[in-house]
Amino acid sequence: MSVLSGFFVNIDTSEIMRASWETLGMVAGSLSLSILIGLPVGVWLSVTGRSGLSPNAAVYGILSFVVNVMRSIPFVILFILLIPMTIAMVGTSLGVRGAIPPLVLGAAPFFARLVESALREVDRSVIEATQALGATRRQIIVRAMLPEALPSLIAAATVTAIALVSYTAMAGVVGAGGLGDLAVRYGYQRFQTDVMLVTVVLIIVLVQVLQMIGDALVARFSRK
Amino acid sequence: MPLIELKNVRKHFTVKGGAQTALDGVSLGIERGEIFGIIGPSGSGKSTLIRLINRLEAPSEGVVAVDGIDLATLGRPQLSALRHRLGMIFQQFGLLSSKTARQNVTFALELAGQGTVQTRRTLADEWLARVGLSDHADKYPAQLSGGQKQRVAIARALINRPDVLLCDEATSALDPQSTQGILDLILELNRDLGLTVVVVTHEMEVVRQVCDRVAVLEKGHVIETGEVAQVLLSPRSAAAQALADALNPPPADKDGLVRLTWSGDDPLGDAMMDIAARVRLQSGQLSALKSGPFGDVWVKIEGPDRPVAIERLRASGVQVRGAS
Repeated sequence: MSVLSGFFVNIDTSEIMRASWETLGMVAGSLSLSILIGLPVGVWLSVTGRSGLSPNAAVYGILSFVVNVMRSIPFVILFILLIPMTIAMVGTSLGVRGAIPPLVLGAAPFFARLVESALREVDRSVIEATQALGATRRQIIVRAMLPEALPSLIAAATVTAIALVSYTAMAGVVGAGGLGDLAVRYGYQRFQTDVMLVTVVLIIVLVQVLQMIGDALVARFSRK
Repeated sequence: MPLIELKNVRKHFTVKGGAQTALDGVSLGIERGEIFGIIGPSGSGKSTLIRLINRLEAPSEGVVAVDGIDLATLGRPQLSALRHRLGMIFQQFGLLSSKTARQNVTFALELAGQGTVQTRRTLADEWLARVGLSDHADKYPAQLSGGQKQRVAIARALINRPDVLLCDEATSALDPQSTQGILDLILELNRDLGLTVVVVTHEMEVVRQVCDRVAVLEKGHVIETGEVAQVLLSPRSAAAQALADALNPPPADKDGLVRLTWSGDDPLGDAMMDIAARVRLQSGQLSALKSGPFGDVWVKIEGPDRPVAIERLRASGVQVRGAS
């Protein structure tokens, strides 16, 4: 007992709680915005793609190029590159608020690609049958493709949420706060191994919980 | 004027390595109230042809008209309206896996902007009862058999009361028993509602059972069109001959055998009356076309009056093949 309490000597519960809430806030905020932006972009990618509802090589090419560029920049570098834009948008590049714009720009293109491939998986015969029922293009997307792809879309959001957890940890290194910040400042720079251990465990727990929620929702909405 | 008319229709697809011609100058007319078959081997262009009728495909050249209206003149809203008048079912059913059987059926009404939640539900339940699925309304497609899925698809295709039902290989993914059920249902709907039906298939058996007329398609050309009985009894093309032969394969040893094919009542008794000849059935089938009884059998004709018997059979309209 004394050995354990001696080991965890540096743990400041309220500090850890605060950092956990920051991480949760960053993940929740940036996930919602990533879905809000990534979903329409992914639908556009799927609609204008070569075997899409209305193929358009020019629109697809541009959209695809932008998405690829954003996805090829490592997140830490994207974060730094975006500092001027972040300050212009939310007034600071620090803290939870300052982390949201770069997190969204990092995750939205990733989510958009996942949406594109989820929609591509929708059975061709379902789309054709819906067309034959006289559905407009909008009805085909909203009433047939998105509901059919729902389980895959939930899985995509889960993967994105988990990627965002690791992005927030990196964002922590460059001033965003949260568990990543705690791990670096205390665990790494001050050699407080106990803090490092607790933050890592909390991140693992967070990822596990997110995956469990995602899996449960996928199972809830799967009809196949 | 035919309800559905194709005039000199060509359809080219651009595929990797150049253009491919799916239909090469097809003209045909489909009359209101008939069941019209389009038969051909895979790659003959029959699926492309049926897709032209509700403009899931647009022709490269030529005219496709429904009720006298050239489909090329229709804008998007009119095209949607046209499709509400042309129901279609597919080999792979095309049901939304995320919706129950009932929801799949009401979906067609929702897309057409018809009814209220309550009336849609009532009407869907009526149609599900009509296709024999009252007990399955709340099941998802994954919980239904192939035949049941196709019944849901038929209810969905017909709930907007279209004039035409387009069937693209609708029974090709089904077992024989489910196929029979679907074919009977199509016949019943044609009879009771005066529904015009276009059936695309590679199986002559389907054409034999349900169609009034048939077009034989080969490599993008219609090589023969006519009443089913006429095409089966006296095919003019090698392709139609092959399809008709497939209905009644000869026995292993067909030495001295004669193939008799007829439409209408069995002529054998009358032909053999009071002569010194007798007929031994070897193989084949007595069945029915949509227009009435149909026989296609391999027989042995023995006895001194064999030539008289064959003469009489020919005189009564029986197609006699293989007799020297």
